[in-house]
Amino acid sequence: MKKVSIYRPTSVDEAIQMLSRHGSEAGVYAGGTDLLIRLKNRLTQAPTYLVDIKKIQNLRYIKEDSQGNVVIGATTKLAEMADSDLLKRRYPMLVEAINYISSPELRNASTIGGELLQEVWCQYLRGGYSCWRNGGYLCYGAIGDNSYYHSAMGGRLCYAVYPGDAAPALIPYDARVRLATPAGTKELTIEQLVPGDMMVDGRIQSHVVRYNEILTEVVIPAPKPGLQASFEKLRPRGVWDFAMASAAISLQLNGKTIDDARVVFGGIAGKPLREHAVEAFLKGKQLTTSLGNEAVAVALTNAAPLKYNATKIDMAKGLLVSGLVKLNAAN
Amino acid sequence: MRPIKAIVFEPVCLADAEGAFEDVAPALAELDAMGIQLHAAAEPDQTMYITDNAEGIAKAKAAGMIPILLMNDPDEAQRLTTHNPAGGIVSLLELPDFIRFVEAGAPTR
Repeated sequence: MKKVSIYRPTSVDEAIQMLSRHGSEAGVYAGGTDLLIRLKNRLTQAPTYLVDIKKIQNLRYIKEDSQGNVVIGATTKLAEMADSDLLKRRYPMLVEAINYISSPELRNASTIGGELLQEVWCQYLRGGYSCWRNGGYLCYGAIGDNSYYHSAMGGRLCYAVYPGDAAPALIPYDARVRLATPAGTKELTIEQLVPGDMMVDGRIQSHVVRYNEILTEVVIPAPKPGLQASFEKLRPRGVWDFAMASAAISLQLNGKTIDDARVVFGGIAGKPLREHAVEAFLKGKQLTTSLGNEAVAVALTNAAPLKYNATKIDMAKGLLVSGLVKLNAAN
Repeated sequence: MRPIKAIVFEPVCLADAEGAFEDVAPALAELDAMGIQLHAAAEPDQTMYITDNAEGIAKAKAAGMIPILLMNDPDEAQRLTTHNPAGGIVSLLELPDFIRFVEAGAPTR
């Protein structure tokens, strides 16, 4: 592992100064379950200057604000989210998704900020291949084994999938994030935060956070009465793994009538993939046992699987059906 | 890699007997709008040579150009990476981003 320097700022402003000083040589260090592995794997792209934000006191909380939103500090552990009575009561689907993330041990270390901004888990990147994200100009996943961790919906230089489960689960709740930047606070939707492969400060990454910005907070609006949601995930290993495909669905119900819908797929594209065509199809429909099978007809029609991962599309469609069946049974 | 000024395409990367591939027109239009010369009119080390075969990679290297592999068939592309192209793309539509990536100073951190 290369030698690194660690800073331990005690305020967000101080952390931003340290990040600004070292440019893209620096990186935010919180739970370490992604960053430390990149260092251990000796990746070219791993930072040399770690800005440890764990000592910043006011970044770890789950609370309700005066507008009725629930706000979650960026260094809040996933395990704390999974145990939160407030989250269980207000956003049970989010808690379900959090419980699907990796293992209990890792959830005790991983933070929600790191979960949202984690690097892709392509085996070629993690294996030190000189790919687009690691000092090279070629995607080995596009031509190699792309069964698990690569996009079935096309790519943009890099074909790795966005690996997180929290982002797909937050989008149906219309959650936002706050970033601390040198110019002040910036607020983004989750879709704006992780729009798929972007060129940011000379790097390809799945999120838009610049080298001198810090994700500080997730804000989730109070759900409207009648909002029902489900989260489904298929993984290569049944115990803990990244999603082969996942589906987060929320329905705004008026009796059995769907007034509004959010459908987000994870594990199949370079971003949490919001499927607007299915949402439009569902709007105004009655929630019935057969609705899922009808919705599948309009889902993922622009799929572009690689050689070994067409099954991801079938899985995602299956999860859409099972999610709607589950929601129907619960109502 | 120095900033890219020009691109040379092997004809096989642009069309087959049935006509031009569907990604060619939009890719060329965007490259043209970026000011990229679509014929060799720049220094060789600022010129990409787009090829899908080993001979093309060797030809580009001999001319001092930057050999970029168009990875049509995954298995064949895997084999061709052993010829050490400077980079690879799945579609010509990726070329504008490739050039911007190089321009941004990547991949060095």
